[in-house]
This record gives sequence, C-alpha cells and structure tokens, in this order.
Amino acid sequence: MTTTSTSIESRHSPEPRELAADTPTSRVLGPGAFLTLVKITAARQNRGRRLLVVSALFTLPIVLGALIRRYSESYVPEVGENLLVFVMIFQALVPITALLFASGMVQDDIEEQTMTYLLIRPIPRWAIYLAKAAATFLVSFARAVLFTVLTLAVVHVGTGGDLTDLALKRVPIVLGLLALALGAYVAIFGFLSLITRRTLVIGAIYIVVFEGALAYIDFAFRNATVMYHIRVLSVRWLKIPAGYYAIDPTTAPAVSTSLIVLGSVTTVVLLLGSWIFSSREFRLKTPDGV
Amino acid sequence: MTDPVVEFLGASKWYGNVIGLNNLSLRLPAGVTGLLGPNGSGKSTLLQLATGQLRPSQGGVRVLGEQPWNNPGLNRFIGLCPEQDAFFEWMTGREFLTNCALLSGLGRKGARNATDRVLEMVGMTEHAGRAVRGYSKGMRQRIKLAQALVHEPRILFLDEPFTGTDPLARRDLMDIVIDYGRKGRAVLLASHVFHEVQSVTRDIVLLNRGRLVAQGDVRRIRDLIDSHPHRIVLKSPAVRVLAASLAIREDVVGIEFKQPGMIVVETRRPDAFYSQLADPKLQALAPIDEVYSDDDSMEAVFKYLVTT
Repeated sequence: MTTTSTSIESRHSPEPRELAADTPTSRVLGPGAFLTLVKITAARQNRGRRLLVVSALFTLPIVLGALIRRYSESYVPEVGENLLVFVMIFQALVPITALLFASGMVQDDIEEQTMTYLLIRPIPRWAIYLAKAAATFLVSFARAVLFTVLTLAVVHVGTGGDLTDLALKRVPIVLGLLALALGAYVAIFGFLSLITRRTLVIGAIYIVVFEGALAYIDFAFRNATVMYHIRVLSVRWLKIPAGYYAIDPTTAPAVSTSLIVLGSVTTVVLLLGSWIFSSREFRLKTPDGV
Repeated sequence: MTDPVVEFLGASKWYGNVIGLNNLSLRLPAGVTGLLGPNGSGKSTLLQLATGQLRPSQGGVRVLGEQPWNNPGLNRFIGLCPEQDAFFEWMTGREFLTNCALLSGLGRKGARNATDRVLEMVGMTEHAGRAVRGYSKGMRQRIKLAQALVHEPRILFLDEPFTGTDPLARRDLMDIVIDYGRKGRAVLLASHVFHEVQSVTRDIVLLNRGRLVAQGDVRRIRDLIDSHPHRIVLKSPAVRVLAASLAIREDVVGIEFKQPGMIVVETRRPDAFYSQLADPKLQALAPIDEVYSDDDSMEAVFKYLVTT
C-alpha cells in the first residue's frame, strides 16, 4: 500500500497553540446537567407501551378490591389489604414494574441510538448511570404510589375503620416500603440490563425463583432476598400477621438489620452498575458498520 | 507543523476479528480538515475514538493534549454531529437544543441564549417549536449540527453532516462549517463524498479499510478522482423532467433510472454539476429532494490509491 502524503504545514490554520493552551481543568458535574439527564430519562420512561403495561397491571388490585367488596358477604379489610397490597402489589407488581422500567433505562438509549448525545457531554459516565437509575426509580415509584394509595382507598374507605390512622400512619409506612423495594429492584435490574441482553427473561426468572419461592422458605438464603426484608419490615411496622410469610418474629432480623441490608444491596449494586457503565464501550450502529 | 489539536499515535481499534482502524498515525492542526473514505473505511471509528466513545485497542489518541476516553472534562471543548439519524423524538427542536446545552454544563439562561443563537445559525428558529419527529431530513441534519455547536466547542467533529440534505440546506450547512473553521476552531469533517469535503476545505485525510491512504492538499486527490466518472444519486418527484434537463449537459455522461423517483447521474465534472443543482430554474422545473454521491466512484479511486 502506498500512502500519498503532502504537507499540511502550509495551511492557513488559526492558532492551535492558543487552543491547546486552554486545556480543561474543571470536571465537576453541575446539578443542572444531572437534573436534565434525570428529566430526559424520566420523559422517555413515561412514554411508550411500558407505561401502559404497568398502568394496566396496577389497575388489577383496584378492580379486584372493588369486586371483593361488592360480592364478599364477610368482607374483612385486613384480609383484603394483605391480598391486594402485600401479595399482589409488593410481591408481584413492584418487582415487575422495576424490571420493566429498569430493563430499558440504558438499553433504550442504545437501541434508539441516542446514547451518543449523553456520552459526548462533560458528564462522568457514573453520573449518567446514576441519573438514569434515579429517573427510573422516580417514574416507577410515582406509578406505584398512585395505584397503591388507590388500592388502599378501595380496601379501607367506607368500612368504618380509622381513616386518620390509615392516612397518617399506615399509608406513609406502605409508601416507605415501596420506596425501599423499588430502590433495590431498580438497582438490581438496572445492573442486570448491563450484563445481559435478556434482562426481561432473566429478571422474570429471578422474581419467581428468588423473590417469590426462596423468600418464603425458612432457610438462610431468604436473607439475601429483597422481598424477605420487606416482609420483615411489614410485620414489624404494620403488624401484618407473621404467619402469612412463614416468618418467626423472634428469629427474624431486627428493623435496623433489614434496613441496612436493603440500603447496602441498593448502594453496592448501583455502584457496581456505575462502574460497569463507566468502563464499557457503547458501540452504536452506523450505516458504515465500522 | 503547528501543534496538533487531534493526534493519533499508532492507534488501532478492532471489534473482535474486524479491524476498524489499523495503526493510524495522524496529526491534525486547527482549521477545517476533511476526512474522506468509503463506507467501512474507519471514519466513524476514528471520530468515536477522538470523542472518547471508544477506547483504542492499541496505540494512543490525544485531543488537545489529553486522552479522550473516559475524560468528561474534555467534552466541554468537543462537539460531535453523529452520523446516526437519532434524536429524542418527542422533544421540540428548541427543547432538544436547550437540553443539550444544559447537559454541556450551561446554566438555564445561558442554555436559552445558546439555543436561540444556534437556531438562528442553522436557520431553524421558525421551526423550533415543532417536535423533532415531524422534521424533514434536512431539518434534522440542521438540528443535529446545532446540538454540536450549542456549547461553542473548540473542536467540531462532523460525521456525514450533509447526508440526505437538499442542495440549499447543504450549502447553508457548508457555510456554517467554513465559518466555524475561520473563527479559529478545529473542524474534522467526515464524509464519503469527495466534493462535499472539497467545498469546505483543501486539507484532507483519506482513509480506506482502517488505514491512512493519503493526507494533504485536495488538488492532488482531485486529479485522481476526476479521471473517474462521478455517480450522483438524485431524488425528485419529477425525475424524468430532471433527467431531460440534465441530459443536455456536456459533462453528464450517463443517466440511469434506478428506482421510481430516483436517478443516478454520471458526470466527469462533479464540481460544475453540484453547483448547477442549486439553480432556481432547475429547482422550479424539477425540485430535488435529496442528493448524494454513489459510493462506487469513490471506491474506484480508493482502489486506485491503495494499489499504486
């Protein structure tokens, strides 16, 4: 191969020495850039079929609650709450919602080829990942809060129970549990989406096997599941009958232990995801192919 | 030679068994430089390495004296107009640019002002309130260029910025690139269309199959290219009227009806041919929706260069 080379010294170039002198020094991420990233990711998550699917799923406990109240001859609000909120919402809908949103938090930008616009900005990659996780958490939490409060209203309002206690004590605790569960699941499934393309399939298996079956079995492994600690907190904070979950309150972890486990899992997995995101090349398709 | 703004030091990039860039050594000073090569020659890989999206498999890359991989601070000084026709489609043009400005570290007021400035620069102020998904190809290219300029980068990387634009948009975008280079900034313009590059700069770099084929003054390369008929694809709703108008030109040596609404014209004087396309009379007679160079003639030149 021959390389034809002519001089480019003679070009009437401006002052490159002057340009090179002002090399970047500030690497501080401004809050404006971070919030913009959160906003863009949230706006994307709030569009499309994913949101419709989640909304449709979350209407199930509301509809079921209304049907139970309409047709049950001996309606007990506590039983309804346990079935609809702690079984349907916490055990099924919360992890599914986190999986659906978190699986796309990075992949959407890759598939739609918009990742470039984020990677070429003066934002550290770890911050891009954390902003995406934050936005995904906010979007999924907002949906979960809306539908869970509606479900609690369907279960309790008009039954003669103490609505003040419900609004000021029970609902805030339930929302706190939602935040803890969604935070952990978004971190886990976001991480999963970085290491496999089959996030939905593997995530679904994880939900059924680990968070579903293993969390029920009284064995040491259940301590490693998010659901077990959420159930422990439910039992301790909301006085949910421990027998529902095969939990023995005398041997179950203390509240502080469960909070530390959930917080640690969320933090460690988020940091791990940030590290992978920072060190990975995101090769976007171009017509060239190269 | 003056200090380089962009420097490749024996840089290679491979994707598994596929070589994207092969032991490339290159020093680019400020001003406009054209990066020419056929599809698959490694232009996009080169730009992605220079903008820190990819990490070299071997060798080094320096931009303003720093390695670009995982160097977000450097991105304050870099603007990239990517090849892919991708946007946050739900945003309006103004929202898209304002968000890009905010992501680049500008404050709210600064982002608004910068957005107004670049919208004016690319001639999109009038359409700024429309959603990007409703834009024509030419409008999308204008907005894509605007997002690269919104934070006034000192180095501008452009990957096929004129693809699919009509002749008027092409001229406007070329003027922006030329002006930017005149302001003392560095511009690296990647294209597989020789005459696009030639319209904005005399300094070119030729790549083929990931290797540097030639670097230097455009006239030397032009002499080689002009010996080959240049194939230009034109799309128009009045394709037969257009063909009839072009057939009488002496420099046109062939016209092929490739698909409905599309012709491929062969010319030995592509410069004159391109300049004639913007003629209002021709536009009135047969409006041209899209112009681009067929790859074949370029490929022939590259084959010639790499075998001599």
